[in-house]
Amino acid sequence: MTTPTLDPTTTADRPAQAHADSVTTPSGEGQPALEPREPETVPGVTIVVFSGDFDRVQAAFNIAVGAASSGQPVTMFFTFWGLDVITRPNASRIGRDPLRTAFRWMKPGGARRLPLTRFNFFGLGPKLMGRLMGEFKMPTVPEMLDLARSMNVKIVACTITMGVMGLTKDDLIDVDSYAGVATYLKDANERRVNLFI
Amino acid sequence: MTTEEATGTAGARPRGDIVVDATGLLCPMPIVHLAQGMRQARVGQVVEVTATDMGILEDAPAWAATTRHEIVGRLIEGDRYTFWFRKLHD
Repeated sequence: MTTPTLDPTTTADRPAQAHADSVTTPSGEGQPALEPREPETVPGVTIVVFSGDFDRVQAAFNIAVGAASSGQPVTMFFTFWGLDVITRPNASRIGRDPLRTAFRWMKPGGARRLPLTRFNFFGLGPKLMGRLMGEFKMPTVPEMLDLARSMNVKIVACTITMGVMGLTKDDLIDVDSYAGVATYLKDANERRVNLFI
Repeated sequence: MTTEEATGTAGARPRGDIVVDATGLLCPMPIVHLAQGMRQARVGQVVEVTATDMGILEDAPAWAATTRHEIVGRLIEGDRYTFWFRKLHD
């Protein structure tokens, strides 16, 4: 994976600024930690997958897989309803309290069970859509997930919403990391395309 | 329905060192297969990809610009679109 480095060409682009930074930083005035020097961005993508809707998730994977095919680093950060995508189909429906157990029954999750944003019709919509997509040889969400993983797309599960939804690590497929907003922002700061779906 | 010249040799259809058939596939799969073909190729070799999704007409040049490889030919035969890419780097 490409990691951003302070390559000489980038610094040469704005030598005055680089110089100014090195002069002002040691003096220690203003907000020292909040505004470090501009992060070096590289072509790359982060996507916050907030939605668990089949059509939105499909779009997210299209972008992720397309970017990975261009050799760019991609991070997909699954949070809230997006966690359904990376929930094992056979995940436990027992939460640690009755409320979370009810939640697990209402939203069992699994990449094969995602509803449509519109025309869901209690699950009939996605089935029909799946048939149409099959005719066009469009990969399904689980296939896109496997494809993305095989292309080293980094899959991150949001720990806070896992807790809210009553999901444990055992309920999720194997992901690259379990993390929070700082991890997302670190990647987002280094990439040029950052999406919230 | 225009047909444009591909690489150099007029008349004869050039054959890529790596040939990728992405016909019948929809976005993003043609690009995925193209990228796989490009990984197999050595620097300097030509990768040929044929698709039927007309999005490839814009996507192929865009992908080449992003990945800094060179498009050396394009051929449109009805609804079959073929591009030849030269691999410029690993």
